[in-house]
Amino acid sequence: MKITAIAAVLCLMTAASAWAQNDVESTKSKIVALEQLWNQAYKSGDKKALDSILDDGIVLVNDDGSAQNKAEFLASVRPPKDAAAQQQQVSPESLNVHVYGSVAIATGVMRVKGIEGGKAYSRRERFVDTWLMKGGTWVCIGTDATPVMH
Amino acid sequence: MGVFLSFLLSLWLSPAPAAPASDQYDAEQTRILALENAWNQAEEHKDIKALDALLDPTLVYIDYDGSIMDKAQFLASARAPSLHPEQIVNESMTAHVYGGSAVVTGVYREKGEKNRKPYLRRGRFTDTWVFVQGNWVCVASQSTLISH
Repeated sequence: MKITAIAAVLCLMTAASAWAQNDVESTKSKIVALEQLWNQAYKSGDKKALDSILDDGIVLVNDDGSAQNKAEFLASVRPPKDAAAQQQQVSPESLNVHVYGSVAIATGVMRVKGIEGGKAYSRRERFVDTWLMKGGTWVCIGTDATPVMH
Repeated sequence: MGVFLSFLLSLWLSPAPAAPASDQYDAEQTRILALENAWNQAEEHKDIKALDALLDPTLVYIDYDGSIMDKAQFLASARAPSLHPEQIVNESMTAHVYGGSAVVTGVYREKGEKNRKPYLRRGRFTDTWVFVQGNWVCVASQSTLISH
């Protein structure tokens, strides 16, 4: 009887652990998809899509140390025909996601290119995006980019 | 026990009062901003025990030069004998609290000596805190130099 009860508890624990692991993996996949969506929406100037994945309280720290709120960032997004005037993000070279319940941290390296002072540039940047499950959807509540110097 | 670790413990162990939601929000904001200041003090004084208590084991730390460190690497860099931070101050800080998580952004200024060479840096930082087992711990920290 005792052995049966212990076996049952162990089975439940294993099932719970597997379920939690699946949940984390599912969240990671969702965050990776949202990161890709952000990248595509930025490239195509899709402000509506960007609006839907950014929290109203987000603070965006750019690679030059300047900060923008959501409205300032959306106002800076250009339509594709003006794409040459804005910094272009290329797909991330790497992306890792850590999940803490209703919070997820995405870190990675992105290559960006653009034109500054009439000169073309290309550089690598490391970023951290913080995502929050809010009202049943994941929204980004903070993002920071830092040029990789070495 | 270090002074800063005692301070951290007092912050964590003080009971959360039964208060209206806005008061509770303000209280958590104040607590997190105090932890940010405690972090600066701990780094200045090389109080590794206090730093250890503030940081989640899974911490991702992005330094001003774009290098990435885990918690062990960050603590080792803070402990390094060649590093002498004289002053680390936050010029401004804003905390957004979302239930059991919070994002702090601000501007910091740091001066000191590394490998016998003086340095002075000013940058913007973003720290993400989560409430784990009754404590706020930092899970991600990033700084970016202000170039303009």
